Amino acid sequence: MRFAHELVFASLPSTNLFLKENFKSLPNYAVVHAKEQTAGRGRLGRKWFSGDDLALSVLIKDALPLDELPKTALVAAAAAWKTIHPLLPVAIKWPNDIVNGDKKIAGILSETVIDSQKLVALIIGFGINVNTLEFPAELTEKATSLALATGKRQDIDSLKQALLENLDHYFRDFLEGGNEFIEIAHAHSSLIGKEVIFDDFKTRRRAKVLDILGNGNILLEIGEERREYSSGEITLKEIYRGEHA
Amino acid sequence: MKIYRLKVNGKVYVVEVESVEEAPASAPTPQAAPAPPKPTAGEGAVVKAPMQGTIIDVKVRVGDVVKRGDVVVVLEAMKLENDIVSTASGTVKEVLVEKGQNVDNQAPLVIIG
Repeated sequence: MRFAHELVFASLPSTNLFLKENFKSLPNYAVVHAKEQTAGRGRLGRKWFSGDDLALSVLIKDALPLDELPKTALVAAAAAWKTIHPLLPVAIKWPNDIVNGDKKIAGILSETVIDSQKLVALIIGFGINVNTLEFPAELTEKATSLALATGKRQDIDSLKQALLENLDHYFRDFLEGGNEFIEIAHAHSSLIGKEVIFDDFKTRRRAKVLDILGNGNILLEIGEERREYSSGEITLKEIYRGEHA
Repeated sequence: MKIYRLKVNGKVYVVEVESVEEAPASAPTPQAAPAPPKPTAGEGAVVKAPMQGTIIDVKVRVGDVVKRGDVVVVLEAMKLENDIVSTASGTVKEVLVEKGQNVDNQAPLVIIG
């Protein structure tokens, strides 16, 4: 098991931030788990609400080629899906969320440090809403937790162990050139076939999701045109706008 | 002269290779490729985008003193937030991008003098 060197903190501002600040002195595949995050972050600097949940980040210092990096988002999503799926029929919302129906139950924030065109550190952060029973008012319509959705508290340490084992499994698949994680991201996508609003950080356009591709990209139909995107923001409903849970 | 296909970081280059041993002994020593010009005042180390993406944060301003390895720009690309670090120690001479800007692979971002 790669992800076995674990640091556990009672409280940290953010597990991703801790790894970004300390990756040089930590071993490859180090794991940071915070029982409480005081300044959890989502994509694009958004706040991540932290309750009685699982907040964990892993450090990967392998010299991965930059053009292979998009696939690691699918590796992480497949691992989170596999961890939660035995408890709840969840789906993967490309690129970095796990949803239960239209409510977010887990999010992934991947960050890198790149020096002179080379990957120095890849940090993958997971936030799984586990035992939070009450979300702030602005999130109640768009976030849920395992406890709320299943009706019972879940053991955070068991979930953590399962997540690390699943991540190890799909990361190995990725390193060996396999496609098991891609098949999961494809088969359990919450988006394929859906009409969405796609924001490429310049314009927001209506689009239909045709596929999640093996390279990690999303294939969209915009008007008459089919286009592949590696990045962007997908909105199913206006409710997803603004802060994420 | 032989032609080879060379793959570097996934990119394929076609190169012509001349064997030095086959060249006549009297041939003049092939000149080494000219060394890249040394940065002079007014030039400096250029931090480039490692991939196409969107600038989501600029961490430095002109005049800031940075060390090699300090984060200068955050680039969102491929579902990842990428901290791009300074390739040299020095003073920020130019900031060529702003938040929200889309940049191409290898686009110059910041110049460190």
